[in-house]
Order: sequence, then structure tokens, then C-alpha cells
Amino acid sequence: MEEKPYFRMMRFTPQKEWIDRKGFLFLLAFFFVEIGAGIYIVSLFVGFQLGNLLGWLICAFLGGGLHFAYLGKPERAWRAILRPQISEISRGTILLTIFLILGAFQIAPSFSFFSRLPWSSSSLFFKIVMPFLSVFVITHGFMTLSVVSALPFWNSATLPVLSLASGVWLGTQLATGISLGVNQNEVFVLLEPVARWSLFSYVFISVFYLWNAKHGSLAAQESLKLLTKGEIAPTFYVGVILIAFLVPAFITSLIYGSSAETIHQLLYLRVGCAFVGDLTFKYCILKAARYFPLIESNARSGV
Amino acid sequence: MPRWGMVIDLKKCIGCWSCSISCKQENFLPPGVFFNRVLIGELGRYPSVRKEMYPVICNHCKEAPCVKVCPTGATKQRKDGIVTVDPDECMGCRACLIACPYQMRSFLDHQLEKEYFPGQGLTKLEILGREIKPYQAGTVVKCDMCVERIDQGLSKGLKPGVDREATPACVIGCPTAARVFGDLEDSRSEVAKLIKVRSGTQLHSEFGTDPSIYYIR
Repeated sequence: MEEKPYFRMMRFTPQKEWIDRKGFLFLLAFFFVEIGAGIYIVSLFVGFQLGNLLGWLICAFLGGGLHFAYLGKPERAWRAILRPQISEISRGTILLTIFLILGAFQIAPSFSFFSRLPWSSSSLFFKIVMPFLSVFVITHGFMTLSVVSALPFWNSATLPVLSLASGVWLGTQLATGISLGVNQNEVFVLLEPVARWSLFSYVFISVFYLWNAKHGSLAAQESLKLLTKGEIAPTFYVGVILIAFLVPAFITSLIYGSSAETIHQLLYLRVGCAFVGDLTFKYCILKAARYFPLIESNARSGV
Repeated sequence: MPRWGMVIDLKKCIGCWSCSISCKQENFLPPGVFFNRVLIGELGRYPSVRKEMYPVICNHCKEAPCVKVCPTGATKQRKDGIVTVDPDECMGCRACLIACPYQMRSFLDHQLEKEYFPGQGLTKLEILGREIKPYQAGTVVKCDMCVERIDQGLSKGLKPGVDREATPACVIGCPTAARVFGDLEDSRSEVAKLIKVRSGTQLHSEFGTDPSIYYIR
């Protein structure tokens, strides 16, 4: 039922623009930019060129494309670079653009058509610059959320760190999945220790973030209550606790020390859980955010 | 340089919504879009229940979070404190809408297709409004303190808050004179005196936004 105008902001009010209806595209845009840059940085360290290419494509077309689809006036998107001195969105747009341009330059020599370029994909310049850019791009989405002081559940310094952990975790998983699909099992061997630690970091930082909310302002506590006891609780417990955390942790402990050839199905299951679980977690974070009520009233306490 | 602000007397407000209607008329707002609202809060338990009318508009904060997040510069703050949105620069990312702790902005989308009397065609006011204020779908709109009235009034030598022509429509429309408009920086102005004498408060000053709208009881 549509909210009456005299009732607006009388309770802890949810944000809707970045999650409901067309706002879901915004969530997907953040998600795909994060995992694209995540695969990219992970692939850089293990020399998995196909992973670099796929990460770039996911960032550019899925992430970038969904951003455009969400905007009210996408033809004015170029204006988003105009205020890097104060706007986090501006800074993120500039960094993403630089990431895509330099990423294209790095990937190009991999193709025979560009084999005559005077630089190689493993040039020192790219080895130094691209990891930093990848980290900025991974964290850009949640950094944009963390500067919004109006929503205390988002206004946490832990959020960009969580974003980095989830980006690396998803990057290892997707790179593993892709490499298994093209029979490059050695990538799994190189990435599995990174995957174990990134899963541990991801779970630890997620718990820390939620604990922070418990000890935060009333609006943050209200958001946490929605996650753990409210309307979002089933999604949170199944999608996040079970699928994002417990199942991957269980699989990781099961496959410890095994070779890639014997555990393909389990690895693919873990990849799927990581993908679905992280998307669900981001959905929960965006859905649960609440504004403070504007005035004191019985409506605030549900009377 | 003046800092334009408003004082709203909660004792005088009767919750008639004249401010909201005046604003809608002045700005030719489409259905469902409000720059002015009157929140009606009930406090206490039976039999000791009291009602409070709380008019809210954009606070034109001195430390406006919407200005800080806007990537295109469409949301600007003038030197006199009024925060405006340039519809020709807005790309519709809605970051300003998210960032506003008072939620006083609106994103224009399907509202522009609605009529006030569905099936009966547009009224003369709506037709006029679509010519004078052609809102753009896909952009964010908000109260601009009737900045055109203020600027035109000043150019004619009128005084905003004193002369009706130069004063925001919601202030003029209030039948109980619950709203007073003026220069917060001028200690001789009516608004400054009211804030001092009757201990004017801001809405959620703990947000650190330093609103230009004050409330007195």
C-alpha cells in the first residue's frame, strides 16, 4: 500500500531507490563491478590471462552497462567525472574508467592481432598499477555506500573492507571455476590457499560488520533486527549464513589437500554458493538500511 | 551575504496543508510529488494522547549532504544558502536522494504521466504548468525556496519575508502565519529574533547538517 504523505519518515524508513524495482539494477551493477575487478586482481597474481579478460568484460559490460541502465538520464553519465574533489561516485567513475582503459592495454597483447604492440601484458607498469586500480574498483561500490551518513547501517568503515574481502573471495572462486572449465587445473592449485584465507577474512569481516551495527545507532540496530528477526531474516539465514558462509566453509574443509581432478563437482558447488551468497548478502545490506524517523510519534514504536 | 531561512511555529500550525497546496500550485508539481509535507504525529497513550503537526520541507542545510555526493554538480548550494537542482545537469543517479537524512527529494519518473483527475483530461493549471515548468523525467527535484520569487523580488528592491511577491509560496499560503521567512544572519530580522527569544530548534541537529529551517513551540 502506498505510504501516505503525512506518514512519511515517521518510522525507521527503508531506502528504496537503490534496491526496489529499477534500483535492483544498481545492486547488480555494484556486484558485477566488484567481482569483475576481483577476478582481474586474482588472475594478475597467477598469470591467468583468460581471467583478466573475463574480469574486464564483466566490469565493462555487465557492471558498466547496468549502471547506465539504472540512470534516469544515461546520456548525461559523462558528467559523473566532474566532481572528484567531493563526490565518491565521481572518484569511482574516474577510477573505473582508468581501470578499463589500462586493463584493455594490458590485455591487448594477449591477442595475436595486437602481438606487435611495443609492450607486453606482464610489463612492470601494469604489474604495479593494475593491482592498485583493481582494489579501488572493488571497493568503490561499498565506499559509495559508506559515505552516506543518513543510513547508519551503511555508514561504517568496515563496509569497504568487507567489499575487498568479498571481491577477492569471489575472484578466486570464479577464476577457479573458469580455469577448471578450460582444464587449467594449475590455477586451482595456486589459488586455493588464497581462497581459504579470503573466505576466512570474508566471514570474519562480515561478522565484525554486523557486530558493529549491533553497537551502533538505533537505526543501525533496527537494520540488524530486520536482518536477524524481521522480514529479511529468512533471506539472510538461508542466503548468507548457509549459502555464503557455511556451505563454502564446509566444502573448503572437505577438499583440503585434494587435487582438482577429484573434486570438480564440489568446487563448482562452492563457486555457485559464493556467487549466490554474496549477491544475497549485498541485497540484504541494501534492503535492511533504515533512516531515522523525523519526529517522535507512536508510529515509531509501532503503536 | 544573507542566509535565507525559515521559522515554523508548531503552536500555530493547524495541519491544514495549505503550505503544501500553495507549493504544489506555485511549482506545478505532478501528483504524488511533495516539496512540503505536514507530518501528523500522535504521542502518548489513551487517555493522554496528543497530536502534533510538523510541517517539513527541504532544510537547505548549510552542510548539505546532497551537495557533497552529487557527482555531476547538478545539486548546488548558492551563497545565500539555498540548495537547488539543475534539471539539465542531473543524470538521475539518486545519490542525493539517498544521502538526504530528511528524505525531502523526489525522483521524477512515472509521476509525470499522471493527471490529477484521471480520465478527465488535464486541468488548465496542469497545461500551464507543463509549459512553464517542464519537469524532466529521470531527474531529481526538490524545494528551492521559490528562488525565482526571491531573486525577482530582490531585483525589484523588495524584501523577502516582508514583501509577499518576494516570499516563498508556502509562507504566504499559511492561514495562521505559522511560517516566517527571512535572513538568519541578520540579527534584526524576524526569524533571528524568533529563534533567539523562543529557542528555535533544528530538525535532528545531531546529523550535523545545520538546517536553515527552525522550529519553535
